[in-house]
Amino acid sequence: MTTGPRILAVIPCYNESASIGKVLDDLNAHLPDVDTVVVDDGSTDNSYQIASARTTTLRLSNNLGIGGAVQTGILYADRHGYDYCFQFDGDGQHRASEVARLVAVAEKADASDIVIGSRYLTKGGDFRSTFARRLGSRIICWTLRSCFGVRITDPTSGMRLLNKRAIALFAKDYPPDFPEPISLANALKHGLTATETTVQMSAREHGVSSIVGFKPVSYMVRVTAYIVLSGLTKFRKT
Amino acid sequence: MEDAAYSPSIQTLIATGVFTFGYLSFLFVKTASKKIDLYDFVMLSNLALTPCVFLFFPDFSHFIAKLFGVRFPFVILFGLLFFVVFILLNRILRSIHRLEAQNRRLTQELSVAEAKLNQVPGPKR
Repeated sequence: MTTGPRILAVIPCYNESASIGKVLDDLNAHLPDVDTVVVDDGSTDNSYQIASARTTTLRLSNNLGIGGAVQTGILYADRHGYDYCFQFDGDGQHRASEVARLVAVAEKADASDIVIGSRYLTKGGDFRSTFARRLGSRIICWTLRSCFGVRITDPTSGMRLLNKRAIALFAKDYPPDFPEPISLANALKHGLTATETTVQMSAREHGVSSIVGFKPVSYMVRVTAYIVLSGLTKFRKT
Repeated sequence: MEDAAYSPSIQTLIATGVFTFGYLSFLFVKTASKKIDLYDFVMLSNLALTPCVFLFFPDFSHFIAKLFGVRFPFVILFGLLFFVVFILLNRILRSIHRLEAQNRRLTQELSVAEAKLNQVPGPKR
């Protein structure tokens, strides 16, 4: 019988039939004690069949987007009393071997409620991003630091480990669009703490990013405005 | 120099009267068949009633315009109409966001409940 913390990997998935099986095998190989739940966000390919043959799979009857899918997994973690849960992308960007770092940081006595796997904490990592993305990320970092006084280098990272407090908050309230930085601001507003640890991520193996065309501009404006709004209202009783 | 109160022509009055009657009848039928509620009826009927008041009672509309310190009564007329439209828009947006959140939560609860049901072994045959 294991006495360690119960950990759940939440894997949002939308038409990831090419990679979801490999992602689950990778997780099972590196983290045999971690439970997994795939959230199929209304896929039109056979992602659900592949995932459900391997692990618990939640099938959303209609597409809710990344925020709605991740929140479903967090809701599952909350209902089943998990100590920690972490998001793990179904497109092969996240490496299962890196999750141990997040867990190690989370298990420290004075641990934060949210441990973010950062691609930019140490220079010289092998993750390559576009200039526009790096600039956007910098602006979000600066806004978070100005509003909440915390130094976060990778606020858009989806690889995050949540403890019970963060799970409880996000199960109730999680943004449907652009969820990572907005939910982080919301958590800080509610008095939760966040820290980072270095992780390595791979380039996307299959599929394309949902933030294309004019979306990066819309992303920046909405995310920055929301963080400022959260910062301005952080002292209000909620 | 004082502006003389504008008197609308008989054609304008007839056209406005016909539109108001037709539009209010349409709204009344929709309200009676419960396709819109009473609040919507009151708010939407302002679209016809506000111009009617300004056209059929020009002295009153000039009085209101003077009260607000504007020269032309139509400024007040359009201001009122925009105000009503913004109230309606605000109500509709709030409803949409509430329904979106409910839809999202229901979809999530349904998937979690379905997974729970799948884990329960079925009756033995």
